[in-house]
Amino acid sequence: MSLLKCSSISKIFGTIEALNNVSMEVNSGDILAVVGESGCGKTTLLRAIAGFETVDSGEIKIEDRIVSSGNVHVLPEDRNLGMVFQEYSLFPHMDVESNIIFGLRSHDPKQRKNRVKEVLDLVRLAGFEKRYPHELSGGQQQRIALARSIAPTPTLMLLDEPFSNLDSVNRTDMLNDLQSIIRDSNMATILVTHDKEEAFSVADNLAVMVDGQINQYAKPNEIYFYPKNYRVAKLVSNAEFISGNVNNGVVNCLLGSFSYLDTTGKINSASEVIVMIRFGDFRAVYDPNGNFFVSSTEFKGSHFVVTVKSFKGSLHIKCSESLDTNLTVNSKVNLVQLSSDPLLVFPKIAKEND
Amino acid sequence: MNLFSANKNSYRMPPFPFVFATLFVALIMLIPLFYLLLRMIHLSVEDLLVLISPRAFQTLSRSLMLMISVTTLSSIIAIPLAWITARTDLPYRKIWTILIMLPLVIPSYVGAYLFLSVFGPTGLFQKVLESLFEIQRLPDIRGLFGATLVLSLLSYPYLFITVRGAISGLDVSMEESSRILGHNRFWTFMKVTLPQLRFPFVSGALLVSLYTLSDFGAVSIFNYNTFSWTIYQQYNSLIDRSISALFSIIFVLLAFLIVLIEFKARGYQKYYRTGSGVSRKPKLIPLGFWKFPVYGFLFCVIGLALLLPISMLGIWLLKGMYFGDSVTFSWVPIFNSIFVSVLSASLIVFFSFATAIILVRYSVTGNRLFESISYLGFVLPGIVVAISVVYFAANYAGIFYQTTALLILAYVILFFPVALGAIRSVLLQINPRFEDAAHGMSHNYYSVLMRINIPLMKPGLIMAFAMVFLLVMKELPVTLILGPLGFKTLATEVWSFSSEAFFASAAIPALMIILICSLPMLMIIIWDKRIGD
Repeated sequence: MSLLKCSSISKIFGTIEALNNVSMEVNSGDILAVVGESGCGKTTLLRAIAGFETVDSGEIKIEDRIVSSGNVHVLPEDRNLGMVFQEYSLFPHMDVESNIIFGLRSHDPKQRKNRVKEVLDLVRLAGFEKRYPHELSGGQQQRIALARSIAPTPTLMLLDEPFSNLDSVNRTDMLNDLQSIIRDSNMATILVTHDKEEAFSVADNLAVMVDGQINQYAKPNEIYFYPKNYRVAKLVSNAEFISGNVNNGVVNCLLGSFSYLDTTGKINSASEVIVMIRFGDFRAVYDPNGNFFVSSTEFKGSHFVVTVKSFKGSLHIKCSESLDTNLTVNSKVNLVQLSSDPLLVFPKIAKEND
Repeated sequence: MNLFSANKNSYRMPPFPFVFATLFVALIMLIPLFYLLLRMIHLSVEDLLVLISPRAFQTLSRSLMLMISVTTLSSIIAIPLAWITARTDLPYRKIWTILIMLPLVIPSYVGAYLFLSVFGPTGLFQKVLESLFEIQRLPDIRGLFGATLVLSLLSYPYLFITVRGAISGLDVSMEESSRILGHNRFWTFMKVTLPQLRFPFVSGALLVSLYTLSDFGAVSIFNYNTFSWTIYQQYNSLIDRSISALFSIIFVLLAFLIVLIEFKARGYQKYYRTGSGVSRKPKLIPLGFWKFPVYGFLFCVIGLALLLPISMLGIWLLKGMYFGDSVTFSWVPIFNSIFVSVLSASLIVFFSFATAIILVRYSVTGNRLFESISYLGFVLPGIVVAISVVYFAANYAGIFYQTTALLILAYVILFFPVALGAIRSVLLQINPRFEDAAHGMSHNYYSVLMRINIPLMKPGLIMAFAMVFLLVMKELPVTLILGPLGFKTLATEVWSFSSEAFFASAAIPALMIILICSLPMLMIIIWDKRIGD
């Protein structure tokens, strides 16, 4: 049974459609990551679920209870949610213990103390009860914020860019901890983030939001390999996009002719398209008569990243090369496809130049 | 914020003129302290009897009572207004904010006179009631009640400014966390929002209590003998000036005590530096039906604190002219007021600029000690500063006695801390690496000062100038005591005309003060982008 169910919710701020007909479900124990650029509506969606924003139409159900609709609005404090904010938001005038107790319904001092100890163990900060927020590092503050929000055992956990203020080491640690805590406690979780790696690594499902709409809702690997449109492809990959045209079942572009795959179903047999070139799809091969040249090489420890440019046009493609590569800056090269997998193509969009 | 305080110049000697200016200020700041110590050393048994006399006790308890009641009433006015203008969808919030702050420009003696003339036993209000209900006499508002009312209406802006600034700087996600954790709007306000306003509230309350304690105008008009007024009476009676000196000692000790208590009450100030600042503007709370009581409250406060004084002055003036009273108008006090205000403000801004540079950028011996001395002026009431400066001039600097120079010296002692506070805080926020970079581009010390420091510190410098200008303009007791014979300022004109009941003549300088003070005040408000939406 789905724990959270949003059915075609919409929200308009002035003239901006922050949420446009958004529908989705999350099951107990599942993590849904909502990704998108800033301003795409992902934070509004989270805040609507939390009850900080009303919805204009549609409805939000938590455990089969309507909490938001055009004429119902259950207050945030009555929704039994947990939420972790980007800014940690620990109360500065309370120590860690009081911060955690703040959300507990139990009034029994012994039960409270036990719960504080439990959740501090969970976030691996046992013994921090009497510390004040200003005495903790950013990573510790965010762990306490997480402990505080899981202490009342909510059924649904909302995470609003919880790791964006942390450095990469802290972030990886927290991600791993978070994942196991959520699985163990069987909460449904929504993680809002602009960081695709973060989303890929923890989420069971991914929702990609563009301009207030969920453009694609699927498993992370499905979204990665089969993005439904150009905007989604741009958001979830590090790929380069070059123009080309399809004809007779092949796509022709600056790199040659290749088989293609159309995930959008909107491409006619002969039309202008955008071709998606992923990092690693091609490698550079030395060729004195090549149409391309190496513009820079970066040593990455286990391999080189070689940036290849074309003599004409603005194309530049990054390739991964082994450590014994003989390519140097200005070497003439040709680009060779590594596998025979079809390249993804999307309909040409008038606004985009590349 | 102590952002860059760790970066002190070590390779460069502090510039001589600045060191000189700093030492000079330090010396003159010591004058009142020196005077009070001298008095204490020479205390006789009789003096000690005066110190524990019923009269001293009465003055003390009256001062304390007034201070507590004014702080309470101005909190009741200021905190809701701060919250309403920062967090609700009140229409025209920026304009309301400006109007709420403007009563700062009305001197307390003007406000008190006008209140008395309207709400006094046979004032205007009684006349209206008489014609309607034949009420012959109203209860006398003189005493604690009237003084509290007037001083609260004129000093609540201090609290309003500090608390409002803090409310708009609060991290909204704090309150949202509390809601998510199951607490409703009311408990969230009580348990999460209010505790975070404690520090700014105490700072504002400190300003209000010191303002009340050292007020001279309103208490004298409402005949409520607090320290300021008693000391002035004793001083003017010329019979025994030692009583005024003795009372000054108690007065300053009391002020110190209050500062100490309030510093303790500030408590966990350091806790307010966590988190990464404000990320989201708070959602404005729709007032809905509450709009009407809010408007009622706003009209009451602004009506009493701003509209009533200004319109009464207008009525006095028109009435006087209509009945053919000899309305005296002279340019001399206007010129004098502007002259001393501009001169003192410029001097004080220069001194505090120099001092701020030395304190923030150089590690000089005695730095900390000087910092404490320079804040003395905050606790020293005008009347005590005036008396000690007179004593100093009479005994050690006779040629300055009865000169404008001495008057300005007293203003410097009194208002230097205000300017230093404003200027020091902007300097602390300027990264010294800017200066290093300019030196690296071969600019010498003064060139860097002119092209880097001063332009970057401009908001603080202007703020300091405007504040001091306003304070000197309104200042009364020091001007009365130290002004050379026949030296008239707008403040002394209001005082002397109104004590002789020439209300129409008093109205002109009073209106001039309000008008001239409003200009820098409006400048500060419009300059400060944190105010309003």
